[in-house]
Amino acid sequence: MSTIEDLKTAVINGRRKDVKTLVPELLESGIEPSALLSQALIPAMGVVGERFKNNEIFVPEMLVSARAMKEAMNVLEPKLLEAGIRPEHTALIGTVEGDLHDIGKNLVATMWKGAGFDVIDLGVNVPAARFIEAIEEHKPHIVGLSALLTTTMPAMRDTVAAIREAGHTSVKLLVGGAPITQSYANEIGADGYSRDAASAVDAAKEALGV
Amino acid sequence: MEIFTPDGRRHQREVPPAAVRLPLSSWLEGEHLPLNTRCGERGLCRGCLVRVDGRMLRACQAEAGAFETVSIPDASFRDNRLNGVSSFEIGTHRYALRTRPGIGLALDIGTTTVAGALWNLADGTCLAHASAANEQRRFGDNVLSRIDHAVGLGGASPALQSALVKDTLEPLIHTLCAAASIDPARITEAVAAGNTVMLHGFAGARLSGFAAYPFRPEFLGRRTLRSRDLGFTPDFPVFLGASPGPFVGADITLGALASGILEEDAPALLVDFGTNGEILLKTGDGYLATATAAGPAFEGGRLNCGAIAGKGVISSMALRGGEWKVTLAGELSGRITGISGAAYVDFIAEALRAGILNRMGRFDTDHPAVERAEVDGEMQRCVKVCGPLFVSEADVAELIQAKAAIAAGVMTLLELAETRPGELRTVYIAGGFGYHLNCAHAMAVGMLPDVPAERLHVIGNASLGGASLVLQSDAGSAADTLCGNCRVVELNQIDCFEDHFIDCMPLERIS
Repeated sequence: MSTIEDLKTAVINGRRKDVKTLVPELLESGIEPSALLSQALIPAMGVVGERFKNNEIFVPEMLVSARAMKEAMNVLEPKLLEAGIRPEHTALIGTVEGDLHDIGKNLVATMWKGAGFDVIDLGVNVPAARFIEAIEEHKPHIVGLSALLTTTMPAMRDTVAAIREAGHTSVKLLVGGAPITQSYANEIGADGYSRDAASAVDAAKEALGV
Repeated sequence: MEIFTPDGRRHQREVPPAAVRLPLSSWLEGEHLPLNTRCGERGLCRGCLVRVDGRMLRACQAEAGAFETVSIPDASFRDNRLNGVSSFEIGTHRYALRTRPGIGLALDIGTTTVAGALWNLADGTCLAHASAANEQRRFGDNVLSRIDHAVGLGGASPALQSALVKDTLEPLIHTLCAAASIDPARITEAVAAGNTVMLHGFAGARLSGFAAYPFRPEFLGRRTLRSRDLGFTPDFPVFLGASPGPFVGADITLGALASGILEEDAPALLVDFGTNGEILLKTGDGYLATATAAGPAFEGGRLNCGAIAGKGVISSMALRGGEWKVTLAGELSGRITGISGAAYVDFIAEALRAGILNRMGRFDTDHPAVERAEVDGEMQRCVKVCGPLFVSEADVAELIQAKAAIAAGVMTLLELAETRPGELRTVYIAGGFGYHLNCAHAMAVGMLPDVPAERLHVIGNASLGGASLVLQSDAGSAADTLCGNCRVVELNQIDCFEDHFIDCMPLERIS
């Protein structure tokens, strides 16, 4: 019989097909969805993030693990919702206007889910007004802004400014993407910056003070 | 200031008062000691690292007046003798030749290298062909950094145009004319192929339309310019080839003419490996085209010992009896300074075969060739290649992402066309990087889908071949027809692209 530990290992090793069969099997055996999340998926993504930070794995393996995690969440999320389980923290994420890149942003979204956040993904090419609208609707604790092009960095600056001008001063704004640096994050008035998807979890926790 | 270059020479230069606040890299550029300012002097890369007082710092983030002594390491010194490709093949075609008196110039304007060919239009003979480094590289090693530079100046950059026309093309034309013993004033016309951003920069057009989605280039269709208006001394008409989309340029349309894919049975694939990977798929009822951002890894960017193929750079390697046998680009003399993108592909394929590397890009720690070494202050698993050159697991990870981007681009187009890789009848590999690539290795690592060797054709600089063809025949209208018949795919907007990208991560064959 499969165990929660098997699911954790399958996510760490990025075995999507195994994850696809393990999740329903474990649920069938009577394990609560919330237990799968807290005892398999969250610890698995913790291990993946830690290994990445220690240079034991690199982006390719992290992407493969994250996709396995996503596979599990696709099944679990509706069940968690049904059970009335809502994560403590809500995060919004999106790629700024004019930028269509989403692989890095999606990875951060999955890492945040893996840290137990409720993540609302606004997709790519998201205008500042759309961010503001979603902030008002979902009341997130953190908002992640991604830009992969040096040419769309100005849109990130404008989005940060627009969110603040709209009066959302307490929501934590985190920025990231290949051309973004800590000094740029400071310059545009973001609350946090992370250089990669693994440290995006730390940056979010730090901004939230948890 | 006292400056030491990698060849061991010492240069004594005075920093004038007006230059003391200039970035060190900009001042060195003016002193003809150019650095690899890959990111366009934004402090984002490590291309311009110099040694000062025993520590390494980014020359673009330091002021010229701040130092007494600077030494430039090998990896940071921009060597202009690139191993560009001006060889090409022209496949069978059915265009009517237009013989007439005159000397024609065909140009391929690439992001990293430019190539040209001089033709006697009266009898269709090639008088000379050559390539040179695109001097726009000092504004950054990819199109994005050039766009960013131009946008910073309000959209169009005279400096960018002049770096191309005055510093790159004029010397290239002189080289070609000298080789053919022809006075440049005798050139009667020119045809230029190139990616859309290069053609805009060439024409002096604004690059703002490339900066963010939705992309609005100033022009895509073919157009005719006068060389005098571009800044050339001899005056002749310059025809720019037509581009199908904002990031899929005339290099692939004209390349398609030269390859023969237009006459070939579908499904057929053309992959042009340059600084960007451009892909054209011929389907039963038209064409699909896309550009895939492989990133700078295949040009040596972001890799510890990476270099653009040029003199002193390893251009291929093989593992024989536990030893790496390397081949150098250019002359077989002097120092070995780096590893080219194509040689990295050799390394991965050979290390995979020998069991040094597993399919997820991890070195086998029990293998005697694998050692732990300090790279950038962190311990990493590495394999030594020769001399000080090595490949680390982080390098392999960068290359995996680059090869997965290309493979996923191909697989996405194939999925849109509901075609399996095995059904491809012909695969053309074009472009400078493609020319040096060992295709068997590229397939073994899953960079290209598996096809039998007899269906694979390496055709060199197809873009230059296509420009030459347009110069001599009525093929130009076929390029227009192709553009009209071509659906341009923005990979980031296709749902299955990310799945293909992740599926293509492992180092294994794709079928």
